[in-house]
Amino acid sequence: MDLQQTGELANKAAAVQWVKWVHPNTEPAHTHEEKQTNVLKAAMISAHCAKCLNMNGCCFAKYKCPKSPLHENCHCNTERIDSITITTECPIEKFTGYIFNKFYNDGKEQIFKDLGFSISDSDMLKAEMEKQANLAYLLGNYELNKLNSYGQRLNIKVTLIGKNGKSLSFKTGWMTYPDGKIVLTTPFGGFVDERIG
Amino acid sequence: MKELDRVKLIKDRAEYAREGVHKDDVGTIMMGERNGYVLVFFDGEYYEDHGYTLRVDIEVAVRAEDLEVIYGS
Repeated sequence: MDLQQTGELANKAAAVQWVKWVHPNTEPAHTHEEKQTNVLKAAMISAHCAKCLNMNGCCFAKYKCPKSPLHENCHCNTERIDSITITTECPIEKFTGYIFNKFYNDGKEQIFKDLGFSISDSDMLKAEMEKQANLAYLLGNYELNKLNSYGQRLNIKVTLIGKNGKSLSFKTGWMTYPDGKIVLTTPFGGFVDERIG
Repeated sequence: MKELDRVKLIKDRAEYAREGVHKDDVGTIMMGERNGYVLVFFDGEYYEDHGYTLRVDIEVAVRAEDLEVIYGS
């Protein structure tokens, strides 16, 4: 990427307006312990639901934000934020223990094998997914996928160039967490859809 | 119960039925517990796309207590 391209991307990123999902009077759950506290709160205060608790603190481009209210009597809202620090996390096990594990037998392994990749490339694939997803999310280039009690999932387009020179674009699935963090749910969520940027 | 465990749904609920998932259906935990729920990819039908035979992933948020581990990762 040359200096001009970097500048263009920086301008595009700066043009994205960000909002944070707010579930009033509860703290975003960053850790397992905090999530457990939220479970207790939800049990004690019946007005809270897991969907809202898991959306609390998650960030979205303003024009690609889930629509509120999420349910009847939902008191969530969004607030504008001036800047965002994106964190992308792709657990290595999504490759070592899932994609390249024949036990799951869901056909995904062959896609990566046909690009010339094997389990020994898991570190590189993890890094590449994190890098591409980080930039895409920063530019608002994602598609809202399902929203349910676990949280809001995103589809992000990834393009891999295989060891054999073959290029392939496909969807990857990510889960939103508070403060600009997204975590990979699946390294392959279907072949690319033209609607995704 | 942890990520990539193979699990079986042991209880029917309307929220699962809406997604087309029912008791005894089998899937894989793709994300660990979050506010009492885990994210499971249930095994769907096989389909052909771009020359590959792939299985549909039916993504459902499931209450942890409604699952039984049938194979630990």
